[in-house]
Amino acid sequence: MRPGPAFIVMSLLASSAAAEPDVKTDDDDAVEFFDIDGGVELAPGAWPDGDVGDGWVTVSKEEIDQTLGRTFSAARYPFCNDGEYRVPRRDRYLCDLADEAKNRCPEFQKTCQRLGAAATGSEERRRPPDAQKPDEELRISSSLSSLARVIFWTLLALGLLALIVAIARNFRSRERPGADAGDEPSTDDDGVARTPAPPRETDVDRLLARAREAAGRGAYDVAIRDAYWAALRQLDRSGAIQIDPSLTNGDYVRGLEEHPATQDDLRAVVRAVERVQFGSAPPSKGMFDDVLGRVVPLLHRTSLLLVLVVALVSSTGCGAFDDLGESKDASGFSHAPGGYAALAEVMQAHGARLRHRIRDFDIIHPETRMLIIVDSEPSESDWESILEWTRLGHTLVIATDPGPARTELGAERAMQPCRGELLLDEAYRSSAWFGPSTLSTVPDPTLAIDTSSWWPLVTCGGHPYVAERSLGEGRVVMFASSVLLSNAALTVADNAYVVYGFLKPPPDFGSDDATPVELVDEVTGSGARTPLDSVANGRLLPLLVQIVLVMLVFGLWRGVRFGRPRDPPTRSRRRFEEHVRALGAIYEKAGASKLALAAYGAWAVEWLRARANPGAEASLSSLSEAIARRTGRDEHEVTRILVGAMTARDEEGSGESPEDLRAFREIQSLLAELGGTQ
Amino acid sequence: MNVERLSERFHRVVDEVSRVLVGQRPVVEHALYAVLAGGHVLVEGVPGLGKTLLVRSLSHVVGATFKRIQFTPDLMPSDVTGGNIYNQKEGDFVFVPGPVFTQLLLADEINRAPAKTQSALLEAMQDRSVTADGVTRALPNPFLVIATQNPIESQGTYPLPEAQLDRFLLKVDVQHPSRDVEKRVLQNYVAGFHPSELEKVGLERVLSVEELLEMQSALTGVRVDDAILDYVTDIIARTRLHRSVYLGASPRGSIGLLTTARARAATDGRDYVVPDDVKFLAPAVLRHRIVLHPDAELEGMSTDDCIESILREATVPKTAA
Repeated sequence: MRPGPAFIVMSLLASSAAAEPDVKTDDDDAVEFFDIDGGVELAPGAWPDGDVGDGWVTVSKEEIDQTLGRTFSAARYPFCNDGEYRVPRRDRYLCDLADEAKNRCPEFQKTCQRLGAAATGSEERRRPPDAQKPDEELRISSSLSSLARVIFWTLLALGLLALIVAIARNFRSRERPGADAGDEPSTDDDGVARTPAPPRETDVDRLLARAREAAGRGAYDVAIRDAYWAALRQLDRSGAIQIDPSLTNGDYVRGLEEHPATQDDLRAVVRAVERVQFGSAPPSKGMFDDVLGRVVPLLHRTSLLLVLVVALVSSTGCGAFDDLGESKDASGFSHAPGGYAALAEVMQAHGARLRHRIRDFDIIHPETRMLIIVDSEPSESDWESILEWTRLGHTLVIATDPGPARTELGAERAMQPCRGELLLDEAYRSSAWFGPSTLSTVPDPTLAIDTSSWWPLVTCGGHPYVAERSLGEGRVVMFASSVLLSNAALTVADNAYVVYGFLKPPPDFGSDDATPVELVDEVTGSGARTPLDSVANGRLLPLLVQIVLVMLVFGLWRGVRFGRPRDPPTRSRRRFEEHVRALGAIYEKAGASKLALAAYGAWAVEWLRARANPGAEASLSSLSEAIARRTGRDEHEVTRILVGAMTARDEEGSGESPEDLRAFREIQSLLAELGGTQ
Repeated sequence: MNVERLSERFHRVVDEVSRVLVGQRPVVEHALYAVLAGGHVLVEGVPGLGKTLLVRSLSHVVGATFKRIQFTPDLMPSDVTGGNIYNQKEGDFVFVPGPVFTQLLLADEINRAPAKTQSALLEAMQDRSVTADGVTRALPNPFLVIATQNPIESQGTYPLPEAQLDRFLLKVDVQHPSRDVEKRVLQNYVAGFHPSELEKVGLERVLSVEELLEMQSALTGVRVDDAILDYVTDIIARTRLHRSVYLGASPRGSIGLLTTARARAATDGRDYVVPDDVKFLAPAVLRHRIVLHPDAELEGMSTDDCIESILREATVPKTAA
């Protein structure tokens, strides 16, 4: 048994006359633990003696102050350092400490003042955390969730309706084969007829059974083919390949480059299958047995792969926690005024390792030396486990209502209110360890304790506020509430120093291997121990039932397509006309109307030559004469237009001109009179 | 010769050539498919990728006679085929054979010569004979033309006419080597390798011309299932009907595809063709036989893209899908 400070103080007080205490008194501000000899009379209660180790382990007030200074100056405590920080509603009652906290936490006062005069002294701020009424935000979100719920159920109902209609239509179309337009032989864009393929069996088991059945009646070619298809379907299902009508067996084999063993097996199977399908080898029983002998292990291998993948995925679900369901560090503690991050950091800086307890109390790790229960209401069985564990020589810190354990412990929360003026017990005030330490808190409840077994450590208005007792080989420290452990409370007076002294267990607290301390709060016990618990906690049963139903439907209809497979829409390509328009837009943007006119003119002259004067000499005059003859136009006019078209490229100037547009139109009209180019 | 032995010889040749032509194994294999199928190969690639080295080493390994013609704009047809020259001593015209009279002919940068000179090769490639002054002379057997052309230069070049392109069994694109391969090339160079001194690197002759002819004749024993014929026909038909194609592959293309598929089957140790052989060789057989629509070209589509699209649309026979 390793005694705590209260035990030591009691020992000293009780034996001050009879025994010479081995107390180091040269440092009045030190919390000290020392080796005491057995035989010291203890009062009150039967304090057990024992070895507390060799030497002194001291943490001075200055050291605690330094730790607090470092801790609260960090940006992770915004209520201390960020004037714009908004104190959470549930922590606003802690603003009563803001004035006292200004030395260690300069911005806390400012953030509390910013809440407005209306909040100052209001009933809301005075209310202890347990009696907080539901937040306004919560009420708003609650009303929003009602709306969301209506929308959700409406959408779900619509979705279900759509699903039922789709399934019904699918069944109807099955009953009337050919009713769907998709049943007609289709012709693709290229004009090559596509005969609709008959439905293929896609279920691996049925393909394999079909293969065996075919082999049984001597149709080895079919049997070999089906066995091979079963292998392909299995590989397709596992995602190793993707079956497609345009892929060859060689493509499938090459697609398995990342699975060399499977690739080798499939290659051998493909070789045998193709020898039958495309070669001249007669299919035989031996050949089928050989193929089957390769296919079956291949199926098992891919199934095993699937199971492994599922197992790996499922095992990552609890990756954040160790096997006991405890978080590995203190990173989960809140840095808000009502959080416990500062307590964790102070303890960590002086030899403890505070961590969240996630798992319930069925198993408490033997390595754990201390449990701190805040904001949690363990069940009766949990309390039994906790007290049993404490009796084995561990430390239990209770900062909540002990509930079912109050009788066994002989302590409970009292109705007598504490107005915030805390007084360290007389014995402590005069002790060498705590000295004239001061404490401060917000209005809080007090404790009602059985004075025969409890020793009050701190009182408030004459009522105990913090008390300690032994329990079996262990000890229990009880706080009237968790306020004194909160971040905000640790910023004021000597709260941190005194709390640390109360909590600090025996000398190995400061050893190299940090003492594991677990904080029990509302998160504790919320973790699931089994997947079924997890489903129950997450209220996922309806969802799982739906999934099971869908799987059942798929199982019953396995291998049968639910919908009609359709080709993906063919990529439409821009028309040639659009290319030409785009080209025209580029010419327009560049102001290259002459260049465009030249190109158009050259093309038009060639076209006119082919249309109006085929086979004749290539001169412009003969062409003009032929066009004039056919259109009735004046030959000189036609010649002018043609010459204009031919010489546009040689004309100077690059800018646009109305003349170019006019020339375009003249050429166009000439083409139109000769029948147009369409 | 059975297919197992053929396959073994084939891989020995490929291994040997790949010793000097580092990292271009697919190109070597394609060239050998064409050799076995008795066809000609058009190798396209930028300068310096080892096209000439491929032909030189191949001729060395298969023990065939080798000649090279560097095509230039002033090259005359008689420079290719040869011609009659007056022999003053005998007082008669004597035919002097041109470089085409060889077993393995490298037509280097074939698109640098004008169409007239290119056409001089037409008869040689198709009929394996040369006619000069009314006399037709047969070319040696085997006779294989491996032509090279540079895809990027257009100045001073004459694109090969479709008729001549169609006479090439395969068109092989040679790509730039990877970094690792390029490093190996440099290591060989540092070790003293020079492309013109193949004997120095100990390149062995692993095949005789007689064996090559045996291998060629062995291909006729490779079985072609009816479903394979359907598949080849389907692919070729789609080249003619595809929306991006102006001119599809000719029947010579379908024969070429089937022949090379047979060659690949045999070199894989099979006495039957499978769809994978056809699909694998379709790009090399068809890429120079297809002319795209201008609008498809405007969209940046290449013949390889088009062939890929065709192969995606064609259904492989006896598929599981």
